[in-house]
Amino acid sequence: MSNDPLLQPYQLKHLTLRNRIMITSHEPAYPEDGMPKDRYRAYHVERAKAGVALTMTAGSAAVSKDSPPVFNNILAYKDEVVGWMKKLTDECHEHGTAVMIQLTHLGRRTRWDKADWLPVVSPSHEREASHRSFPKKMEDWDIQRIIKDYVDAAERMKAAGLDGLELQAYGHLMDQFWSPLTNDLDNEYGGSIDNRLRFTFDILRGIRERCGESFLLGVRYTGDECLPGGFDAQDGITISQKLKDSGLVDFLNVVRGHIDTDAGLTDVIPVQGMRNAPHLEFAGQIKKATDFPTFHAAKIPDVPTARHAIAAGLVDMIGMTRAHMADPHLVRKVIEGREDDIRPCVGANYCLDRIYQGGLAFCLHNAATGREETMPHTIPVASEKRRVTIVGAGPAGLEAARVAAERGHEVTVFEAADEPGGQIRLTALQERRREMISIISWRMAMCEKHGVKFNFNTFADVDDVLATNPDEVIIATGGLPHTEVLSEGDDLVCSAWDILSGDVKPGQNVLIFDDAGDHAALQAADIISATGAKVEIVTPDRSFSPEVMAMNLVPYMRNLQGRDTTFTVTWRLRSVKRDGNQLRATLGSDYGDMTKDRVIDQVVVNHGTRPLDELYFDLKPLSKNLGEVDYTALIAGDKQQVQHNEDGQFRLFRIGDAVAARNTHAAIYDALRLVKDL
Amino acid sequence: MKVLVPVKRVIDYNVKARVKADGSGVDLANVKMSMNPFDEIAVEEAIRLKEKGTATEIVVVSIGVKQAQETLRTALAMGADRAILVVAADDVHQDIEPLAVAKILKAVVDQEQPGLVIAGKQAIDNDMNATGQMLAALLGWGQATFASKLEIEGEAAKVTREVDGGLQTIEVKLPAIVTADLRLNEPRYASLPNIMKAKKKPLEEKTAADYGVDVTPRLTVVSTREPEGRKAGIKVGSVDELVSKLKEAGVV
Ligand SMILES: Cc1cc2nc3c(=O)[nH]c(=O)nc-3n(C[C@H](O)[C@H](O)[C@H](O)COP(=O)(O)O)c2cc1C
Repeated sequence: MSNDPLLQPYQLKHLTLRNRIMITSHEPAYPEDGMPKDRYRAYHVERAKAGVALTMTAGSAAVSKDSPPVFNNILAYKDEVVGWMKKLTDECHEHGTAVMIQLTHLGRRTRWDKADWLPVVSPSHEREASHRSFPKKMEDWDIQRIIKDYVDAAERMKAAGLDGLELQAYGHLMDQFWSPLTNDLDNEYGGSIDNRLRFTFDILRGIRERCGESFLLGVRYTGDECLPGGFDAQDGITISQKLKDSGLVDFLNVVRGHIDTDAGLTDVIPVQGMRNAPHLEFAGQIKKATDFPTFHAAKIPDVPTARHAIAAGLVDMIGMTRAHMADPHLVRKVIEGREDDIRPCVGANYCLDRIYQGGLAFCLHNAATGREETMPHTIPVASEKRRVTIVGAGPAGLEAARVAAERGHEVTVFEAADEPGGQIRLTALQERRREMISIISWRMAMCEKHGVKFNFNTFADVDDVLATNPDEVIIATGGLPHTEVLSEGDDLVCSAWDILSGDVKPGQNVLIFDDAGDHAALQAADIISATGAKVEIVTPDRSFSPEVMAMNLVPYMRNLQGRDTTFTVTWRLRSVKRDGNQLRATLGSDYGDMTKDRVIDQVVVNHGTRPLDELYFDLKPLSKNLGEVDYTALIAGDKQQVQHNEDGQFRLFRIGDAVAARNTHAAIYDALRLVKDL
Repeated sequence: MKVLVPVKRVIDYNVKARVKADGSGVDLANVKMSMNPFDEIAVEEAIRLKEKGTATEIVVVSIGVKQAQETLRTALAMGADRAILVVAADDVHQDIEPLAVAKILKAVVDQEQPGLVIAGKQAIDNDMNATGQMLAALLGWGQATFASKLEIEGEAAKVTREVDGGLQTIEVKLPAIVTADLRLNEPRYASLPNIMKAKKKPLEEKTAADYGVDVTPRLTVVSTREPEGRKAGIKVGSVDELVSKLKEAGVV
């Protein structure tokens, strides 16, 4: 038996959890028709197999029709959920993982223009900034109706064989009752703290009566709203104590903060560049004050910190949620003493930001997550060993190298720079984005393990590639910034990369024209404004930085708004001319003929990259497939069979930004999807 | 003023070096190689002089195996103008000794006539710390080693040196040799656009014979050993136990 504190079992009432690592509730937006079907089940089962002790499924599963999902959550108000949840639960149980679910009513944290077009409800008329609905103030029959909905939904989960459930109470209806900021009811559900908690206890009591003692119950709640006028840490302790004393719950799952704004949400669930484990001590205080089973998660991406949380007795179960999205086999690797092999969560928060834009949660650098049915987390060894030559050691090239090497192929990589990383290396030069480099260093470590041969400082040409006598050639050469978008003055501008790399020193009065809408423009703005310079970001889009997304935007705004950076939307940079020792930029509009000028001393253009594809086109006529990819086979996971050129010696493929400017996930998915079948 | 910077291709500082089975040296087969970090600092300093308008041209020189041209390309990508590769060995395991390097560099300096040579203070592979000094002796030039700050003032270089116990500022008449210490600057990142531009910059290839220098080693490596691995620690239960263990070990 291991003496690792993380691997000690935990006794929660009658349930033995096999270790101290859990996945907290997080809706990856995989439901189909509101149901956790095959994709959803495969995702959880992959993690169960690898040893996680408890998986808290769903995330904000809806108990009522007037809580329409904001990001494709499970519809717990439908009876058909029982069958799907039973299948998922049975399979996870087979692998020894306990299964619970999070139920909620979103209250004002949703929209009325969805599903059944019912009005949004809350215990006050206060609007939530994030979802923008003006809620109906709840009446007595709303309250009784929703209490019953919670209890009915709980009964469905009990029927599906789950070990228990937790109720969500941070930013949702339950704690909208708790908070003086969002509850101005003047009946027995408003006013005093006991009145504000009444809704919660009515529900808990109802569930207990219906589901019995053997069904575990918990609450995931904020112990401190961190908002003026809201409930504070002292109130949080009182609430925690009352939850315990009620005898209705079996565990507390603690978070801290408020989520009604993007910034608030990002402090509750911090992203890269922010502190690790910021609320762990706080969760520890609640456990200490209540002496009651306590769970917690918030940016504990690494095993040593998780181990500390348990060893120091701060909490009983530690959540490593995004860490499990990055590496589903995290627990297995801890058990096997292979912690160094864990694919690290880099806090990019691509997973969470995507669900708010209506997409499925994907991991920025694990393309198999959420695609368990088609993409392998463990690469199968190929039946035939081949020589694979890869040009470019950015995210696409290194993922291709890793996968090819794990398949047992003989792999050679050429890289023009003296270090691997490509655009990741560039982005990670900035302190706040430094965690990104783990995308590269993890792959380098895996490649080294599997004997991949690297040639750095080599701008490979056709002869270099042919000298390796390859069976397969993969071009992952990325791209170069494209800035030639003006009617006049292309020679007077620099790219966002020039600022990031330090090739061009920041000016003092700078216009950044951004129509790529990605990180590069904001990073450049961050670097330039940090010198005290004035920055204006101009974009033809209706809102700025659309590709950066909500939570990723927060740290940028915290820097930029403090530094007099301005944002100008719906204007397009047309031309730049010299004007004395300054520059004159003319802005135009897609809406009409209006123009306006700006006099500045530097113009930065962020307009994505153009592929660096010279080598690809040089090799193309020499290849068997003439570079063609059979998309049908690619999507189906079948072998590539295209053959056009009898004399070709090798097959040629192109991935990542060397094809067209996209993002890190696309680059890595390109590589995994292609190379797993080579 | 022309500035000459010699750069050496060495095992990357991140690589965990492994000694060859026969103990004749460090195994360099299939290992990541990079520019000696102190030479990178030297290149950076030269580029900064050029950016200030003090230097007009930067020539980088590398002496060693053919693959050292990769190192030169990195220097060109950082901002050097032109490169000279002196091929002096075929075997990646052959280290050209400081005296031979200094002699070749002297011949290059005689040809190129730079106003300043900036070298790294030492190479991280063999830690000789001798090439700059030997070159100064062969040329009869002044030298300022371990520089942490460099200013060119007219016909002289004012150099702050990192010495035991503090900083020393000296002035040397130009032309001179300056060797770069760690804190002189932070080298820049060679960006992809600059790597591409560097492809077109001139790289001249020479051999040691072109300069009439014999590179046969004069030193014999008797043995090479890896540092001993750290032994597992023990956990002590109390301060008293800790003190008694330390006494046992004879350290207090
Ligand atoms: C895609 C995604 C969806 C999430 N949805 C929910 C949710 O519905 N309810 C909830 O309580 N937490 C949700 N979370 C938050 C996680 O449970 C967890 O608190 C958070 O990710 C911080 O833990 P970590 O740093 O270990 O990932 C979500 C997280 C992610 C990544």
